[in-house]
Amino acid sequence: MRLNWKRYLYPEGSAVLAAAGALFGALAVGLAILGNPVSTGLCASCFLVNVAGALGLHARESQSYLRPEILGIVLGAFFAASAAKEFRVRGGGSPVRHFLGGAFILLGCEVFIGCPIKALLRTAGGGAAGLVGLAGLIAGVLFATLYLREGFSLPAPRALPEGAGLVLPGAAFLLLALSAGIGESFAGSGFPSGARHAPFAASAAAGLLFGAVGQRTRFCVTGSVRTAALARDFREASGTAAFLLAALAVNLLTGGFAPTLSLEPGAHTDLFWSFLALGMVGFGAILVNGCPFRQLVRASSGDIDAAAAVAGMLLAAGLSVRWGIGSSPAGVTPAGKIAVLLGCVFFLALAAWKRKGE
Amino acid sequence: MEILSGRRLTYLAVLLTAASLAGVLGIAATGDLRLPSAVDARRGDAAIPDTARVSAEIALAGEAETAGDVAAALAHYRAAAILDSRVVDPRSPAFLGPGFEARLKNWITAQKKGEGGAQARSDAAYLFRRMYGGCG
Repeated sequence: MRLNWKRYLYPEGSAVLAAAGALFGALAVGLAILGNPVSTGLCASCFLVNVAGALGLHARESQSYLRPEILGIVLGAFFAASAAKEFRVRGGGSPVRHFLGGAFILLGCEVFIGCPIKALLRTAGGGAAGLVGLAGLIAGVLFATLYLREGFSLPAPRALPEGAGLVLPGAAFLLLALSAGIGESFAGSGFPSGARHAPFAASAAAGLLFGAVGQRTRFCVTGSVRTAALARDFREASGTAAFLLAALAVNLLTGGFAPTLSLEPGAHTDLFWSFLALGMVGFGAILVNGCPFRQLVRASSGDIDAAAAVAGMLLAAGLSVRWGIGSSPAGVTPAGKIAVLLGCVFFLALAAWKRKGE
Repeated sequence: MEILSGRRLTYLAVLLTAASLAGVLGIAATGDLRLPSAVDARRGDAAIPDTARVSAEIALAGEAETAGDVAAALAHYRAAAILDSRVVDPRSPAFLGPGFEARLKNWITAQKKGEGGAQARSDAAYLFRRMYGGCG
C-alpha cells in the first residue's frame, strides 16, 4: 500500500484532524503527569503568564518560567509553515485591534484560569467549572457568528517585508537556546524552581510538535466551533472532540479523572464568571481570528497582526498578575470582573462597528 | 436566527454594552478595588502581609487539631493560607509539609462520607484547590 504523504502534510480529512487532536490531548495530559500544573499540559494563556514572569513583566515567582512549550510552539509552527511554503509575511490590516483584542482575550482566560485548550483539559479532568467555561466559550463563538453572518470583517492584511515575520521566531530561538543552558535563572531565585514544569526536553519537544502539527492542521478550539456553526463542516471540530476524548481517556487510565466542582485543583468555583469570562474569550477570538494558541501559530507563520495579538497577550499576562486581575482558588477578583466586562464592551463595539453597511 | 440580524443585532450590541458598563460601574463602586503599589507588585510572592499572624493562625490550627476539633483547625489553616498562600504550596519552604497534605486528604475523604459541616467542607476544599494546579 502506498502512503499518501500529501494527506498528512496538507491534512483536510476528519480522520487526520481527529488523530492530531487526539495526539495533542494525550500529550497535554502527559506533560501534566511529568510535572506541569494539573490540567496545564497545554495552556497558551498560563504559559504566557509564566513567560511574562520570566521576562520580568511581573514578579510572582511561583508563576514565572520561560516555558519551552511556548518557544517550541513558535519554532515548530515557523518550521512547518516554511517547509510547506506557507510562511508569508503579511499584516497591517488591524494591528491595534489585534493588540487590544489579544490583551482582553488573555485577561478573560486568566479570570477563568486557562485558555480554551485548558478548558478542554479541565473538563477532561472532571472539573465542573471547566465544563461551564467550555459552554460559555461555545456560546461566545456562536454569538460571534451572528456578526460574521452580517458581514463582520477586519481590514485585509497586505504583504510586508519578510524580515518582519522573522522577529518572533528569532526571539523564540534565542530564548530557547538561552533557557536550555540557564533556564532556571529566568525563573527567579526566591522560589526553588518557579512555576511547576515538566522536564525541559519533554516540554520543548512537545512544544515543537504542538506548533508544527497545529500549523498544519489549523488546530483552534474556537475556530472549529465557528466552522461547524457557519459551514456545517465538522472536520475541525472532530479534532477538538478527539482532543477532549483522548485527554479524558488518559485521565481515566491514570486516575486523573475526578468529577468535582469544589475540589478542582487550582480552580475557583464561580460558575457565572467562568461562563462569562470564556464567553468573552470565545466572542473575541472569532473577531480577531483565533484563540491564544492559534494566534501564536499564525504569528509564527508570518502574520504580523497575530504577532500584535501575541504582544497584547504578553503585556496583559504581566498586568494580570500585577493588578490582581487573574483569579485564584479564592475566587474572582473585582479587577478581574471589570476586565471581563470591559472586554465585552470592546468586542461588542468592534463587532457592531465593523459590519458591512453599518 | 433571523430575528437576530440587521439593526436588531446592533441594538443588542448596544444593550449588552450598556449592561456591561453598568456592571463595571457597580463593581467599581462596591468592589474592593485596590491595585497593588509598584513596590508590592515588584515584591511578588515576597509580599507577605503579616508573618506573625500567619504563624499565629498555624499555631491555633495545631492546637485545634490536637483537641480533635477538625473544623476549627481547617478554619485556621484557611486563614493562614489566605494571608500567605505559600503555606499550602508544596514547592515553598513555607509549606506546612507532606504530613499536612496527607491529613487534609484524609479529612476530605471523611467529609465525603458525611462528616463535618458545610464550612469545614468549604475550608478543606479551598486548601486542596490552593495546593495544586493553577497557572504555575
